[in-house]
Amino acid sequence: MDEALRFARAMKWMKKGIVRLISVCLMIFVMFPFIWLLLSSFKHPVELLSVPPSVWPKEFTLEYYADLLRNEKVVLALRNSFIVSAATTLISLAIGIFASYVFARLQFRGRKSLYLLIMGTQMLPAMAILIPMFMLMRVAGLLYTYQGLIVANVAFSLPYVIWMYAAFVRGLPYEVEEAARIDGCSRLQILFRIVVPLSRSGLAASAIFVFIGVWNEFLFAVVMTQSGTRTLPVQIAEFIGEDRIRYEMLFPASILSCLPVLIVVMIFQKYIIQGLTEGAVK
Amino acid sequence: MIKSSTRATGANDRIVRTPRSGLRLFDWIDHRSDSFTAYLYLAPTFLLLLLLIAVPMVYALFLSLVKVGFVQGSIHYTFAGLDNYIQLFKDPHFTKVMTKTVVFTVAKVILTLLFSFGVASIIYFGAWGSALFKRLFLLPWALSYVVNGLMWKWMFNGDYGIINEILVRLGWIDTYKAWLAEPNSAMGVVLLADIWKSMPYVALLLLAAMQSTMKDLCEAARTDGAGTLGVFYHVIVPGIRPVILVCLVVETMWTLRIFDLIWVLTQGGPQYGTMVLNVFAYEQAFRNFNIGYASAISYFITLLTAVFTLVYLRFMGKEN
Repeated sequence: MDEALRFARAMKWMKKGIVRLISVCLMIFVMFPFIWLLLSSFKHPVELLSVPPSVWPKEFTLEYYADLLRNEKVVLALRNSFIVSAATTLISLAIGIFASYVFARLQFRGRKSLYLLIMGTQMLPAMAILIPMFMLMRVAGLLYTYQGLIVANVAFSLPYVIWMYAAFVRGLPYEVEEAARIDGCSRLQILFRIVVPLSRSGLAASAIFVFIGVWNEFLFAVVMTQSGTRTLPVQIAEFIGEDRIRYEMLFPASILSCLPVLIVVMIFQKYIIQGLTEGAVK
Repeated sequence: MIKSSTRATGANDRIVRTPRSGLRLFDWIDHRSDSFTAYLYLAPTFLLLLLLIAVPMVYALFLSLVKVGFVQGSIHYTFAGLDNYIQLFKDPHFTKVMTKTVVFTVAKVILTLLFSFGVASIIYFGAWGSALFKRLFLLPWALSYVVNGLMWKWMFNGDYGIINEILVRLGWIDTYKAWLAEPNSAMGVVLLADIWKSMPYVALLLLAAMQSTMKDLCEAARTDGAGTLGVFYHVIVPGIRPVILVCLVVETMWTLRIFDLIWVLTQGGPQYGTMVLNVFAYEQAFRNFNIGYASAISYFITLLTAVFTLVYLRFMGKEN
């Protein structure tokens, strides 16, 4: 009896141990690549190119971060990334709020097919649109400008905003809108005085998604920008393509490019997880 | 995935009138029917999508049927019929590119799903800190493909890579290996990097689905004498099937779109070892400026995506 009890307890303990071991391995797998990049960004080139690689930097240096902020190309790319991402986010939301409200609240003919049509554009491979878009933008004189890249990004972000934000609007209590209508609110007043304020978190989540998506976007940016309008990912890829890769510049630049995103993600992680899972699970 | 719970709003549309403002047109517009308002509010969205998605798609179809020449800055088209498509099927690299695309897509989708499923189950079964996991999982998701690619490129570097050092220390390999210089191992690295990035999202979805499977159903199974694993296998797994299918579709779409990661890691090399259709089309379009040919390839990718989608839709249709 005693023996059996001890065996059962050992089994339970072992099970727990195994689960924990797997958890730790998993955490290492998820975190290690980024931590390695972070550590590498503090190393001097001599140390970066040493065999065997040192795990902990012998001397933490911020020299190359400082260099980076003095590098005109990088500062310009950082600025371009901010301009393009912020403008895309604002425009997509401005247009998306109306469309989301329509799909969440109004009944009309062709509602379902129009919705599917919008979502269907998300399924098209980007490459099939990029090539003709490159030619069309060239003809329209928008190639290599902020405007060109921004409208292209808006077209790809909009369906996403509608999908996500409409789900949030649908979750609002309809009674409030009804009451407002009886009190004599116009449609636009209902939308902007009631629906939008009540769904702030949904708006924030959609904005974050668009911003991160555009901030990280590479394919359209690499084709549709030039030295003056290059975004940060394109600039980094440019560094990678150089004959003698300057790793000491590359790693701090990469960290710099994920920093804004990671800060935003840390602050708003609750909304992000909600936004990520809500639409697909329900 | 798409559910609507809209209520009928048409009834009290015109009963209530707002106090007349100075702007009569504005007032008039605000009191139209639901349909009118809907079309009005959707107009900017559709205008934009028409201009930036529909028009380019049609133009791409045209481009795929011509040879495009650039003469002194202006564009010349010569009608070529189906030549571009024929050229694609005759291209000596086509079979290889096609094989790589299909192998990569299938391998990545299946491995990601299996791995994510494992991870989600582990967390579901109370690995500690599921909250911590959720937080950590956002990291790969939030990193750009460019940074992601760079990270793995550096770790698998043939001369200074940490992976080489670890494997040598463990005694699994004798000397440093140039992982990205050999087609098969390069493909492995690309797969690993891509799975690392997409696993968290899929795992989060599956976990959310597992946790939202009806609690009382689990309880009922438990009272009927099912063990933890029994409940998991017989109640939860069937319960999350729709979400698994959603993941399958989303992952396939994304994998067929992959470009940045491969571009940063290998640019399709070595010896076409990681050359998928997207990278191939990009090279043709923006390196060789074979716009017509590249358009044909991109239409072929569209076709491939459509085929995958249809297969899944049928599959899903049968499920429901």
